[in-house]
Amino acid sequence: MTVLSGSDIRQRLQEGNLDRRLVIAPLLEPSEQLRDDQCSIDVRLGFEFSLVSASLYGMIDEFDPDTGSESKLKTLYRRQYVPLGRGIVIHPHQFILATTLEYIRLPYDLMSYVVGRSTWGRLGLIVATAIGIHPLFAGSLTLELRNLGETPLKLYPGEAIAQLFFHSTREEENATSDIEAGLSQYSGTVDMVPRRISSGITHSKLLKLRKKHG
Amino acid sequence: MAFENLRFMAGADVDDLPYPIVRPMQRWFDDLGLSNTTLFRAEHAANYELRLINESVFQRIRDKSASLNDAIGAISWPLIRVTVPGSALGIIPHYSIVAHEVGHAMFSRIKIDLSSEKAKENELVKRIETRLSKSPLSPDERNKLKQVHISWLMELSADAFAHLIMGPALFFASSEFFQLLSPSYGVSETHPPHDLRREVVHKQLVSGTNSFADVFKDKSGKTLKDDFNSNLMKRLPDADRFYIELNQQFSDPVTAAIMAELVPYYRDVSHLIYDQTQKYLELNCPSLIYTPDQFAGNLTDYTDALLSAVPPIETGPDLNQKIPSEFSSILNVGWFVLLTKLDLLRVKSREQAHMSEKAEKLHSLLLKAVELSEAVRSWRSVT
Repeated sequence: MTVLSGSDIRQRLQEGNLDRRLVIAPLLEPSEQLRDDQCSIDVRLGFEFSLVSASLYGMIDEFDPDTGSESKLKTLYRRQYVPLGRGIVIHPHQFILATTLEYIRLPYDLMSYVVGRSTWGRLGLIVATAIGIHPLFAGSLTLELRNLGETPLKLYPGEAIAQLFFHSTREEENATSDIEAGLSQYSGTVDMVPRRISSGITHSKLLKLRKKHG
Repeated sequence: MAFENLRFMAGADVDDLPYPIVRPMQRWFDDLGLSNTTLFRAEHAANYELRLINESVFQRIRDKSASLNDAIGAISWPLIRVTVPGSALGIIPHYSIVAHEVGHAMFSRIKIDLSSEKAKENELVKRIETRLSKSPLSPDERNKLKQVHISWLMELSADAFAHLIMGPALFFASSEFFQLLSPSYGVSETHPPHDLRREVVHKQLVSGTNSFADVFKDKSGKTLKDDFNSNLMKRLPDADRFYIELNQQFSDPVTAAIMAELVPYYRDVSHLIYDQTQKYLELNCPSLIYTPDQFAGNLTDYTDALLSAVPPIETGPDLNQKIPSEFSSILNVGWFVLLTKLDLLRVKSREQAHMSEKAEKLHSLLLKAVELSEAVRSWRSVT
């Protein structure tokens, strides 16, 4: 598993073969966001935010239909659109969801890690907690922002917020054939707000165990 | 009164309105020199509408607050309010219909003149007289004819404007919207029948040596027909039959005769509406015109990438010189994929909701393309 250098990333962004092409678009300032002497690419803060609202629920319980269903989870957030040139303030210890401005699509043979920029980290802002992105992801990344500092921070869409590092997931000799690559299907986040906590089988087994013991 | 006026603004929040589409639509108004203040709002209904709101409705409020007075003073009247279906209902390729609404705002500027076909207008009056077995028509009947005539002309002119700036996307969007609105003729004193509107736009799509229809056929292998090869489209019968049906529907032979005879009249003179609208745009805002060459280029640049889950945000091989996509390009590629290649869209979907999930994903990819191509434009607007 190889880490891609800056020039490798550039090459992948300009790859003619769509199945192997890495898509990070738009790059508003390519020369600032991608440098050959670094092994990452900067991504910017997007326009949409989900703010956690005060709620009537005592807790979030994925097996409680009153609090754990998708429709109930949605009520925990208030959506806010902030255009370029405007800002949003994240207060000390506040938690908000944001997205990357860039649309990201990983080919079948690359995975990525999202890492907050150290400048923000030193100001107390934690950018992402779910940092792994799998091959064939397609969408804008959801960022879980938390201000651990003691000072409110004003965030502007378009600011460089995080960086992406890329790893090749296959050795060349084991690379997926073009036919397989052509058949692969992309998936990604539809919405910032979580839809469900556990996936299908886990959810149903835990639910049965809960009923059995509960 | 104040509460009533608040209703004008309902639906303008982020949760109601698919906000990324506002900026490109506002740019139409800006590029066309329509400097009125414009408000976009969404309604949970299949409704596209342009309404002019005059200052007088706010002046009737008694004891206005200082802030309301300031707001009234800051608006460039009449306020233009554009209504679109809400986020939950609007499928982005349908927003091509908003161009038709902008066309209504342009009607008084383009000033369509059909006087060069005076003979055809005389024939129209004669045919109506023959149908009603009376000559000449009474002043009331002439007024009625004038009123329906101008209403239909406004609609067909708005279609012409929208076709010229949106290309085939308008044809696809309006055809689907007509079916949604009413599977019948869709004819009224204010609106010409759907079939006539489809036919007139389709005539433009197939005209010329390298037409939109040629491009569509070349890229999809499918012929672009005015009825989409569907027997669900309600076709107009011949004029005699149409007159009988209209007479039954409206119980008014005068209205029926006027509508039945305006159909062949507008079939004959529609080219004038398109020619004059095109001349106006060429003179005043040529960059807004969407051409078959652009359509061909867009399908080449974006189709395969869109099928591989890459939204049509920008084009160009060089990272430093990407060109942001036009709204019209995004919607046309969207329609092309929706109509001819949706099953090939490579996004994960559950088997039981295969096509509907793909359509939903296509919608989100197009919306993302609109949002981000606009972001590039905003970014580059400052140096």
